Amino acid sequence: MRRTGYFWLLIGMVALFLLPWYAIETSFWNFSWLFGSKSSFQNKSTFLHIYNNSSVIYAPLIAALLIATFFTWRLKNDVSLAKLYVGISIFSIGYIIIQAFFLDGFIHLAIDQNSDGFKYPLGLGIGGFLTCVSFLFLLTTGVSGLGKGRGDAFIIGIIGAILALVLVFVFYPVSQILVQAFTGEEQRLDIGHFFNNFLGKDIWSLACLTSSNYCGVAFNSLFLAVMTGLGTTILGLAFALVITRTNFRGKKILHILTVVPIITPPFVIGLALILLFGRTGIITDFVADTLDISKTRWVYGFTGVYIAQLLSFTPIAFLVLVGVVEGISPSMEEASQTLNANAWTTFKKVSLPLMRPGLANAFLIGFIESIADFGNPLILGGNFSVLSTDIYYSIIGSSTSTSKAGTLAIVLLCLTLSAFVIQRAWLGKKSYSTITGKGDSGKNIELSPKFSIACQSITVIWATFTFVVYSMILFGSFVKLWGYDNSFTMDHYTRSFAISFENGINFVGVAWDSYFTTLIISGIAAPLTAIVGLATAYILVRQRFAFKNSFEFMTMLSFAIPGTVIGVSYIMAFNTPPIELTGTAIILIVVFIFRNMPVGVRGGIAAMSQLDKSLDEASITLGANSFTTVRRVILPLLKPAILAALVYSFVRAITSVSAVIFLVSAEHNMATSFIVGRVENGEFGIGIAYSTVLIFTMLAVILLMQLLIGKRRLRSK
Amino acid sequence: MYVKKLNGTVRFENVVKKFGNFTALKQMSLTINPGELVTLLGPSGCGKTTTLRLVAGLEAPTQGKIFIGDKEVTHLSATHRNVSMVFQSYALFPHMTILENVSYGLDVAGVAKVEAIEKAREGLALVGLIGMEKRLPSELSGGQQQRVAVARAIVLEPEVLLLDEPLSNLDAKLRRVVREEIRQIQQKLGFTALYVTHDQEEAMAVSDQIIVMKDTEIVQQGTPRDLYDHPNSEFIANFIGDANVIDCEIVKGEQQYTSVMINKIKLEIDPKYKNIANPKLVIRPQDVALSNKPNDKNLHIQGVVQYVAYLGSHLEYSIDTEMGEIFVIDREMKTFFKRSSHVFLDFNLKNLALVNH
Repeated sequence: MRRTGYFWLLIGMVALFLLPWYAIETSFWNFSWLFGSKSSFQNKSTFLHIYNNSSVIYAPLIAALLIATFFTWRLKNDVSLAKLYVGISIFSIGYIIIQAFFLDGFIHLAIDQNSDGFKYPLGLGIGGFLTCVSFLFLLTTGVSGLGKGRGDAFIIGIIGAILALVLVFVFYPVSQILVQAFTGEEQRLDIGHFFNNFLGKDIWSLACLTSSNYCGVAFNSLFLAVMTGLGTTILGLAFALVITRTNFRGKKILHILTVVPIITPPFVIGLALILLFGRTGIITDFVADTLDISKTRWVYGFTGVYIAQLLSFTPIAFLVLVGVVEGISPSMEEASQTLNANAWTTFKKVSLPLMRPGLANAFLIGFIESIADFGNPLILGGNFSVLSTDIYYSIIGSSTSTSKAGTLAIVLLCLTLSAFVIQRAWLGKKSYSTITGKGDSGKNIELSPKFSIACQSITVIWATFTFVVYSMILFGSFVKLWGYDNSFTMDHYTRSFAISFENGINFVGVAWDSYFTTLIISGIAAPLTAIVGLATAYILVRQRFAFKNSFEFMTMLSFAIPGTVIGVSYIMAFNTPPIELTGTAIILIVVFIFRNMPVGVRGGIAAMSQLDKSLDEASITLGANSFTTVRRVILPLLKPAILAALVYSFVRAITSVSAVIFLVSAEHNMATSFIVGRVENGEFGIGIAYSTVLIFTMLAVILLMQLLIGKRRLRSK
Repeated sequence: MYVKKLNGTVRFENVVKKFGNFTALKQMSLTINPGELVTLLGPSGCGKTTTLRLVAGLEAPTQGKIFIGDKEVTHLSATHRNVSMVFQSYALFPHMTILENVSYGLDVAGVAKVEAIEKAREGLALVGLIGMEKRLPSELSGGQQQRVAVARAIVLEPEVLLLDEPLSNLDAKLRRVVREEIRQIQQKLGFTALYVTHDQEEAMAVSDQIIVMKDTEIVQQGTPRDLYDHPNSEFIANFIGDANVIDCEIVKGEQQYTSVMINKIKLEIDPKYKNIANPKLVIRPQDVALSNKPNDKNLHIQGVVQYVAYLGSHLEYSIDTEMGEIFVIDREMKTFFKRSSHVFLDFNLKNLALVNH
């Protein structure tokens, strides 16, 4: 413990004394924050402040570090030292928080009244950040020294780190939504204002039931989400049954068709629908010509959004349900048949009830994806407004109102969280275990003929439709101006991705900037997401500690928070000090990590549960510490889960729109927000061409990752 | 293979282990002598595996102290204890070869690569697996995997080797071979071993000492012979070998022997059992002889054969008598009594024991 203690105290000292406490405005690498005593207040390290006699705010922290170091050296009793660590770290972290939020401006103004004209408070910089980190780990070292968690400092450290990250990057921003929603016109608490907003007609109106007026956005969103949840679950189940229980011939093609939408940016399907059914769409044209009816804009609105969402989210429902359908124990179905039930009765009375958790899960995912979906409603919504787009317009649109955005975000959050709670309640505490542990041979029964034909026809129709939609995307990118001038052109690609070789290689295409930014940011975010997700899974599966259930709930919470809400909360929380991140690439990376972490956690938990705990224990009793155990035993065995987490978080980072669109800046623009911008300008060609490039890029990167990580070798061939 | 004669005692001082409200180990104190193979024996849920995991450091005691050698290790993590463990599931790392598995512990301890491989090979030689170094665990048979697990644990030259039901995944014949191997290696290298099993035959076969546990407590500790011949309770009598346990009363006043009454039948047995408060009579099935006429002693216990089974090496009878149903094993097989035949029973009195109820 002493060695770890010294280590973090040293880091703390370096961070506190030598590094600049605040976010500096000058370049980090010219080191003027350390040597340039003429630098302005914000751009200095503490060392310089002390040298210039200009600040006392660090005094308590300096004292804390010195006391801790002294006692690490002198105090012989380990338990007392651990208690000291805990006390001092809690004090210091508390002090930093209070100072950052409340004291900073006050103290600085008192001390530096005449020094400069800076606005306070200031954003926390690398020094402040690292000091916090070192105190956090001093705290966890202390806690483990008290004998918690079998005295394993590594494990307690991970728990502490994840907890801190979730608090700062999930809870803090979400709480800021509440703050903003309750803030009135004059920047002060205004509860009446909130309730006016919250109960407003534009949110809760039911006018569409009785008249031709539109309903409130909340009901629009809710209705759409329920319909999409139901639709995707039914379609997903039909596919899962066709794949697992019939002799359907096109199973391979179906598999591919179900994977492609996952690597498609969400609004691309919307675009393709416009190419098919829009005012100038080919089907619209065809129908209008043959039947001699006038072209309408019917696809814009609920119908269009609904079709787009069905196409986008059915594959996810399928992936959830195929595992569930396969997991139904054949012996139960065989038992039912020997009791003289026919195929249909068996399916209805035995198989289907056993699938209940899977169905609930698929529905929940469809519901949340739909209610959080931003791209499709933005492109196809027309006058049909939903919560996610309304939030966007109240931040970006002509009449900006953060308090309205906050209120809408709360409504949206309430809806998704209720869905979560209802799902839990519906499943209840019944047992649905279908894998019994005994070797379960036998064969699942085939579907009854009529039902089988029904499932197969649905599948074929959907598959054809998806195929047409994707062909549209490919063709659309080579057509001059869809509907008006259908001649072949490479224009969209050259405008987007042209490279000039005059004076060296120049990436002159308009898309290159955002393309590279997207790849870099997603490339950084993916491994970090995988690390955070798998570390959390490791803690949840392998360790016992007091508040484990609430810990699990906290980490899963960000899954239930729609992207738009996260996006809004991030600008609200991180636009102002002490944590000032908007406009940087960091905020994009952070948002991806915490958006996609729950999937890493789920995947990790599933994979980790398959690893017998005695493997860890064997390694530990052989003298390896937990870190070595993780590195040499667990990680190599988790390769498939790591790959899945990496691929998923990378793909999600590239394709996500909803959270990103609030957080991009001129300097760090992402591909999806670039495309949405083009589409809003009516430049469909470039948007589609860019999307096509993105899809192929993702395919290439996925293959590359597979090569890099390699397979785990458990059996020789 | 070079072996340090460093073998530790294991000592528990009033150790209690609770998981939340559930007590896994009621106040336990025990001492295991250096160089002995001691078995923790008991039905599932008796706390034997918990005891083993406490020694390994995989669990921390709620109260009490644990010593290995002369050192207190109560709060020392498993990583830093000089013990190693053979797991029930073997827990071989499936992604490492046999050699990598066996050298893993040496490797993480910082032993030089060449030396680690050298020692790992010696370990494999000891369990007879030379030539298998490059294989993966999945390419070995169950018995071979078992041996790898043992080799992996002993190359670290632990003060104490822990074995958690090491044979439970092997078939009956193999179990016998492997248990002999384990015992031979243990005696050859002289390390202290703590062995967990629920199989009393296995425990009898390998142990210097057996600790029998029940309901999270130690019931009796002793050599296999002690436990069989002098059980201290009905539970031990039934658990260690087969036994007929019968209610009885002690007749006071006798000096040369202990006289017990069972339903008007009087038996005279070893005088050392005289002071048992609530006596029960233990009759081992092989201490009963059957005949078709009464012997010359004046003891006449009659019975009717309820059930008989021929098992090759012996016959098993179940006899209905005035004392109740008596289970008998006949190894001589001079006569074969059919079901429903009348027989006379004769007891080998000097082997009968009394236990406290």
